[in-house]
Amino acid sequence: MSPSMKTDGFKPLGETLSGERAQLLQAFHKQGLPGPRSENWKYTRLKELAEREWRAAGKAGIDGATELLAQAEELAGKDLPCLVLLNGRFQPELSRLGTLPAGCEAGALEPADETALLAAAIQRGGERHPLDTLNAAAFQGGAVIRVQPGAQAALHLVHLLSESGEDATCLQSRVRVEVGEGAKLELRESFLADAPSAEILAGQVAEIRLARDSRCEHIRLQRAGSVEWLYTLQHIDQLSGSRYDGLTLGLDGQLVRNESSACLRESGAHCDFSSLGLLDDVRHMDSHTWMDHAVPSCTSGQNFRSVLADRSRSVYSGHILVRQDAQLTDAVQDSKALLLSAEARANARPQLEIYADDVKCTHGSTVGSLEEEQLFYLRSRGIDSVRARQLLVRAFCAEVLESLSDSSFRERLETLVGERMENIHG
Amino acid sequence: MSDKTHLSEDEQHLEDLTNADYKYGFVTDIESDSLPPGLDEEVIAAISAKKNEPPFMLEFRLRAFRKWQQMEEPDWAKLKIDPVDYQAISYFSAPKKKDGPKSLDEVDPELLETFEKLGIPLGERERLAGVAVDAVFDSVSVATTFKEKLTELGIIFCPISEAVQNHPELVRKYLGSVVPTGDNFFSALNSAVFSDGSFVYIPKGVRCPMELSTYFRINAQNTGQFERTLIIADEGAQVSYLEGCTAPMRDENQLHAAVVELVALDEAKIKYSTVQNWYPGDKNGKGGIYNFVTKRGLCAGRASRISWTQVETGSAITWKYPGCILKGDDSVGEFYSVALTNNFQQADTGTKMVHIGKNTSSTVISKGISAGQGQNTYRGLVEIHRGAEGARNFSQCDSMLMGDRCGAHTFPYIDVRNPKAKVEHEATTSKISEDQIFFCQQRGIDLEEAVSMIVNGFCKEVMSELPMEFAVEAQKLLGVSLEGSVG
Amino acid sequence: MIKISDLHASIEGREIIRGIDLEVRPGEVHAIMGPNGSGKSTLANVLAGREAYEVTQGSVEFLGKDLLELEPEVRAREGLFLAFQYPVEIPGVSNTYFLRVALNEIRRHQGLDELDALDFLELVRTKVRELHMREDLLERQLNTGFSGGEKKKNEILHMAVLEPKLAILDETDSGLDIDALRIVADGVNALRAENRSFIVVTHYQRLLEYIVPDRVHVLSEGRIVRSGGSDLALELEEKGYGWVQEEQA
Repeated sequence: MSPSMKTDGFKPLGETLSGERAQLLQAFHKQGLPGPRSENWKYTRLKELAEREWRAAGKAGIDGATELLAQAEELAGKDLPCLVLLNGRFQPELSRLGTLPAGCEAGALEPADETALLAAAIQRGGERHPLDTLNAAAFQGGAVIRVQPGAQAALHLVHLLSESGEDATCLQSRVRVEVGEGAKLELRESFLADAPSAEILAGQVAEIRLARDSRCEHIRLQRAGSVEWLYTLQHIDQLSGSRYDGLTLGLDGQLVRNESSACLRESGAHCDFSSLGLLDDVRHMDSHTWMDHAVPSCTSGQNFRSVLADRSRSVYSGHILVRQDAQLTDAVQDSKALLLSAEARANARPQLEIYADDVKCTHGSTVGSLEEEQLFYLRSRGIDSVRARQLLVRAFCAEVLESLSDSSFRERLETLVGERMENIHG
Repeated sequence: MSDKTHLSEDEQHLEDLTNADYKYGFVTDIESDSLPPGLDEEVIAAISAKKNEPPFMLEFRLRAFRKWQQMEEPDWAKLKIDPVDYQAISYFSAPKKKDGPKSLDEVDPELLETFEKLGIPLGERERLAGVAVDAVFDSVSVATTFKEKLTELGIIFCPISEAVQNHPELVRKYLGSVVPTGDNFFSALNSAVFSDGSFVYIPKGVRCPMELSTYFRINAQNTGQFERTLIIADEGAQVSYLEGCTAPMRDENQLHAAVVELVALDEAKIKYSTVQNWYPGDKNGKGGIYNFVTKRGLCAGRASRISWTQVETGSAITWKYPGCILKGDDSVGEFYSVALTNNFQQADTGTKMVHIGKNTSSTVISKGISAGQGQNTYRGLVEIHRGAEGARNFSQCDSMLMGDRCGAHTFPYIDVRNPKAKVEHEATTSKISEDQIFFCQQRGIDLEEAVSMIVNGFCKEVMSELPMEFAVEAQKLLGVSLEGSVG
Repeated sequence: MIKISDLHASIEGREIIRGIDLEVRPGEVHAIMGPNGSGKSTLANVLAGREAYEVTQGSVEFLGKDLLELEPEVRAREGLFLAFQYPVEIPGVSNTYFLRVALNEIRRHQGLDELDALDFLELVRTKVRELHMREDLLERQLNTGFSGGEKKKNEILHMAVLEPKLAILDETDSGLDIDALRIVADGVNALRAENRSFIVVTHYQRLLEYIVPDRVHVLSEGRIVRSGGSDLALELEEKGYGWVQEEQA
């Protein structure tokens, strides 16, 4: 057991908690925050987090919510029905759910969901991820999205994050997604923050269940501005023939930790995790994956990329587990980091753990800068070096976005990435 | 007896004891020269005193011991291991006379069969099987010839205990310079209690004219469970060293915690090859050696080169990460590894490549083969420091699984802090296909030969790095180690 | 040479070969033709001893021995050679080394002395020249990274070196351009001898223009539905497989 850090800074959260939630917070105190000697937190330090005094967000509104929302919709698509959470709390007046197709319901977490969730959290006790325990104890709200068997739906889920008062604000929310048999969900999720310097710890835990032959395309746009800590834990549970395609675009946030795990529990399921991080300044983005091939004949892919400028840092830690029964697994893992500055740093831990012999597993990982050869080639065709670099970086990013099915959405993202790259000094 | 004068003190000691034993017929004299099990500062002082070491060695040992006491055993990520009782080990015992066989006729026929399969030269079989003394004396003259040749060139090659006496300045300067006493739990323990091992010094500009293996194989002896090796190649020097042998080595000591340190100065080259075939335990996973080794090379000088090649087929548990610290600009580190686990064997091995100097480069080729219920883990670190402009690493880790009860795991760690560096890692997993086997059989090749051939093909890039004479034996070794695992 | 009687074979419970009788005498070349799925390749693989196929009925006598009782490698050592439709890649194993091991296994089985590396190299180089192949074929890893045509040529080289008594060519012509086809055919023709027989499995008549068979058999749904001389192949080419199938019906 690696030594963990004290959680005294989270005690104020307990003032408003009772019953199961208080119990869960106690469990969190007992677990402690993962320390630097914990294998999974080797490259991401939570020391500063442990040093603050965290309080729960109040119920205050948010200035400029409409503008933020407009900005989010501009990118994600204005026509999509949208569900807005402010600090985890459902905002009916900002949401637009009237256009949801039949067979799809979306809204706030119901009390019944909450009860079930807390019961499950208690049952699992100290076994769980400490940040998951913290979330279960302190979540202020969340959303439920259900797509009935055979139905099809597209939805934009917006998380507005806002600090309250002078204290450090702890925001926790929870999302539950269920896609019925043969159903299809296109989910776009935006994270946005209001203040220029927000002393916020935003945590989100999502559970996504895919029934047989269902499909979910899930794009997360993390534009959390200056939010200091953003962590997301999502778990995908897949039945036979289902397909999950997840893409995370990390554009903001000072310290971001995204953990995605999938359990492929019936044959013929496919899960794909990809991520693109554009990092500058001292930003830190840490992506962890856990791909559990529990049964035969499932496939999975992982494609993680980051572009790093200034003193930024990216971490990729991917794990593919192929259990003994999981013959005929085909799992691929690919991570690439592009270092644009002498002070940037990239870590990669692409891991394979294989207990079946008839499987195809590969992983590749590269860290480096732009290829001089390619730069030279472009320059020899008359493109100046600044433009040539931009071009190559955009090409590097475009490969992650390629898989998106909606071409106009993809183009908007490419433009955004392009603009962002122009501001990042290479 | 004049031809024995070159024998090291330890060897002399051993001989005396052996003779004494014969003379008196019992072991009382030996017992008086052993320390009771357990470890504390007094025991360490006693070890140092018995070996008549200069004060700096005692300090070295004590420093290591104090650090060891503060340390915890590593947390066995993917290994299942029975706890080791460190206080139950006797840390200094003069080699016991074993009730060994008197001739090859008395040796376990299964072992002889293995020798045959491996193509071990007849002259060596006796020694490997533990047949007593005479065989060794036969080869003494050969060894002497080698030794004379080396001395002419100024090469020092001797037991490390002898180097402590005769070349204290070199030992003092380099011992612990690559693997600090407190590097890890086992290296700290080794530093505190090591009994003996090899010392090599190649002077400036000298290219060692022979594989040091040749000598080593003839003169190898029981260096105990805490072996210590130190090899220094001065500016422009070159040496190739081979450790171990393909024959199954049986040993009563369950725990082996060796430390190997290599130092390459400007433009020096060291090639260190290992064939490890310690007793792996039986088919049910009973017994077998725990092989916890710390091996590290320091490319101290500009354009120096250190190359590790290992073929690991033995031991119940292997835990080793031969690494290179690439400090000198333009230095090169290489790691070529084959690790095979069958039955209940577990291997957790890989390398650490630490790039500090400019334009340093490293290559890692790892081939893991898992059969039976064997677990095979590659664990490697590639670290590019801020100043390592132009550094390059290429790693390739391929696993082959045979059967559905084994495991193959790949845990690389990549840490890059220089944008002008490039690190690439690739890994694949495969199995031997039925089509491949059938194709071989259709050409008249039987199942076991086919498996051996396919596995050797899989390992080719590594095998081709081994010195010629060992490559042939190592190839056979892979085949023999896999017997009965397919079909 | 080989006598197949009432052979039935199935894979995963599905019967593919449904009663084949065929006798090939020393020195003869028999062609087995038939549409896709008629059981041609299955027959070739059953004779070579591939485990996935289960012989459910019938017998095969090869040079006086019960072929079906023998392990695949023993069949090879007894002189049966299968040129694979899809030759297998074995990375890291050189073509020459592989062939030497194979040849020596066969020689040992036949009570001959093993060839050392040098003698073998000379032998294999001569064969390569005779077959008008490129010598680099020898140094490369067994079929690894070979083009389709190179793999098929390499099978002919293996055959020439191992000098089998009965060679079965399983669609060796598929995917070959005209030059490669000629090299393959020349290789086979050069090996034709009084005491050596061939079974040429093919979908097209094209190969049989170069390797003229003594007998042609048409396979359909696991049975030989028609046998004849070499002109049967031409007739098939003209009328298509529909013709025999209709006739059968």
